Amino acid sequence: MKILERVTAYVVTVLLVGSALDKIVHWPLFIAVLEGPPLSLKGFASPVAGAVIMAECLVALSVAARQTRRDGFLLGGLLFALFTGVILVLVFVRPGTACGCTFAFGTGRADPLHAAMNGILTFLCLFLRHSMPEHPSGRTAGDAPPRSASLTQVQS
Amino acid sequence: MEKLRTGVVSVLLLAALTLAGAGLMEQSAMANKINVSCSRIGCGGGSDMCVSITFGMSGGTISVNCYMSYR
Repeated sequence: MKILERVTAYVVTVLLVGSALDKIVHWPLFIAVLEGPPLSLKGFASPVAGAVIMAECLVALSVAARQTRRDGFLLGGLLFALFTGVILVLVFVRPGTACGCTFAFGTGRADPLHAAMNGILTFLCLFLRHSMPEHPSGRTAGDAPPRSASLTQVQS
Repeated sequence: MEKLRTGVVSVLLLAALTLAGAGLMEQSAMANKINVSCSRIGCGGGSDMCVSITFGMSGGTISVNCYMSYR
């Protein structure tokens, strides 16, 4: 399970870093997608675009680091849930339109498969967050301290 | 329980990777296709309204913008 957690963390990191770099490289296209219909975020497309890219980088970094991986999976789950919601809305409002998710790196259109991929990533992140121990050492907050520590305290 | 968790994570991870791979393949296949869907393209008839389209290409992505203007 530990190996799967690590593999998933690396996959999520690669996906999010790749997606963020793709958006930075294709910044004018990303802004055009946000400003165009049906999203129509004219006037505040740049701040939204910046926030999305920063959120992707934040999740990628927190998932990559072992100490913050559990919270990273929670943030990743929330971010992927947001993406899934936006794609699902686009699928119903204007299927096949550019969602701005990626441009040169993977699919950038709002279609059911893309929504399914983001939905699976949402569930995967939240499932891993739920199944991971609260501390990287493997203990949860309610657990008793290790036996050796208790004995040391008693002896002292 | 641990086996069930491992199985769930494995299946989900495999499904996500498969869909991501399918997306990449679709993206490369799309590079050779241009699909334009812009309603009311053109200018003429009794209408005073013109619709023009511009193409942009970057990193294998083709963008189409529609502009509306009045004569």
